[in-house]
Amino acid sequence: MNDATDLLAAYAAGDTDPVEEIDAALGRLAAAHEALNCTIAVLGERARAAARDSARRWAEGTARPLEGVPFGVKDVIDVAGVPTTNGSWNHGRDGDPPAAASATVVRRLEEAGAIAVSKDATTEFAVGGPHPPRFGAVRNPWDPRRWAGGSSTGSAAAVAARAVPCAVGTDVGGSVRLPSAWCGLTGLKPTAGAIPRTGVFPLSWTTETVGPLARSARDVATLFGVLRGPDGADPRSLALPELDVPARDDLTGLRIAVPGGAFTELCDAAVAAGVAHLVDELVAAGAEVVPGEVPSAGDALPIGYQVVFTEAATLHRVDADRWDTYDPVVVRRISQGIVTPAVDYLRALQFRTELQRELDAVFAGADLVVVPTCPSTAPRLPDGTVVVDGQDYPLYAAQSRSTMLGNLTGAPGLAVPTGVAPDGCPVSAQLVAPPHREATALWAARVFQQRTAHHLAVAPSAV
Amino acid sequence: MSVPERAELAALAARLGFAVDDEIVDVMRAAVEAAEPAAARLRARPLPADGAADPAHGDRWSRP
Repeated sequence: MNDATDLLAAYAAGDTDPVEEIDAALGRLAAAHEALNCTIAVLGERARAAARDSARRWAEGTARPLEGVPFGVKDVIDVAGVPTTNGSWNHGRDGDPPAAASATVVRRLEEAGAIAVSKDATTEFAVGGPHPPRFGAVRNPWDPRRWAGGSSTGSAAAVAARAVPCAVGTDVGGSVRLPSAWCGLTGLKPTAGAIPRTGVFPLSWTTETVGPLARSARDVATLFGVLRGPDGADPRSLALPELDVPARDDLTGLRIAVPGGAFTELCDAAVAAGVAHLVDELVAAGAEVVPGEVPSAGDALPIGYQVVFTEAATLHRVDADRWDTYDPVVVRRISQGIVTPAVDYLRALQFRTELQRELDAVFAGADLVVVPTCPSTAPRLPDGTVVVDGQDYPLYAAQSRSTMLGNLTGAPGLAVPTGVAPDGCPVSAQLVAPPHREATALWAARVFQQRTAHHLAVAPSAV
Repeated sequence: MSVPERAELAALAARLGFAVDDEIVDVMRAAVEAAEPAAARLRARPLPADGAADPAHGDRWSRP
């Protein structure tokens, strides 16, 4: 079984049941953690109890849309009764108290029948480096000498290792899409506000989103359908139009722009070939390539970091007397926000509007923008450097070049695996859509995955 | 283009309630320096002419 859709079909056919599958998932998680260091907590007892209820529902004919599907939860997202560590020694002043309630996203998945099986490793506070002091680096299932990416690092590793079919993470500068790209997964950063953040430890209110990581576009569509919509608590989450992913396999009428400039000026040849391959397949399915450039995209990363780190420094000031116990990378990164002048922060928010208007101009003639998800394959451990066409680059100079645009503007982006590079690791392209047009990206990705098998490729360290 | 000297940044951080050591002050200054070209481009160009100076426009864009 590749994905949750397959698993649900197997349940429906009576080929297996949730008790058996959750038990198997817990076993795979243990093996994956042993190999990759991907798990902070296993929710064994909780998951097994839910599995018994799920099995009963399947037997009684009252199965819900995700009945019995195991999923992982990035450990910045609350699960009732379980501590949320944020990958840190410092999440609270009283040790590791359990969360009083589940985050909206966990509650919604569980109400749809899915079963949380793990709290997955995260970089510290979803902003630290590959080596969080409390839990250590998560290795990549495609090459354990490499990092799984971050910040939804354990979630991506667990899904790519096939321990679980899906997980829920957060994305402030690419933290769902980048580990998805580096682990060969399909991952969605939705439109800002589409999925409520209630019960998620905050990093940057302007740019932060919650999103699913999975092994197929069809799974992401199902998960997004469950996760989206207002919860009455997150002020950015409002009533949404219906999610209507076209069922047809013919992309006639779909217009795609493939901008260059900042998106491609630093991009490994294997990544670029993957983008071209995706475009070719979409065109073969009926799509049309149209012009479209985002002239200011090159400034999205440095200006986006100004916004993210200013907001993060504000949020972490309450613990400023304990920064000496943080991951030093967290402090190095968010300290930029301490000294970003208010006029620059506000100018950055005005730039956000300028970027949105540049995207509006592109989307006036295009339905999707296709860009690399990131310039390289997975970073190497321990230093986290990436290699682009044989040359080393620091992680943070390279990783979010194409993803921060979506965080800063609020536009949705879907990372889609497009093949394997000569180094044996996955490459990825990103489908960027207008606000609340995730369905268009999910449609194109599903058609691409029906025509190709990249999303079915199994990592060497899969369990 | 110039960015504040490290002592100035350290004093600002302390005034705002952040205790940062010398290494972090150096890192802060390097980060400010790295962002400066993009920030300077923004400072130098006029604001969007049609009222978009209010950040609420940025929030509105992603509302359904």
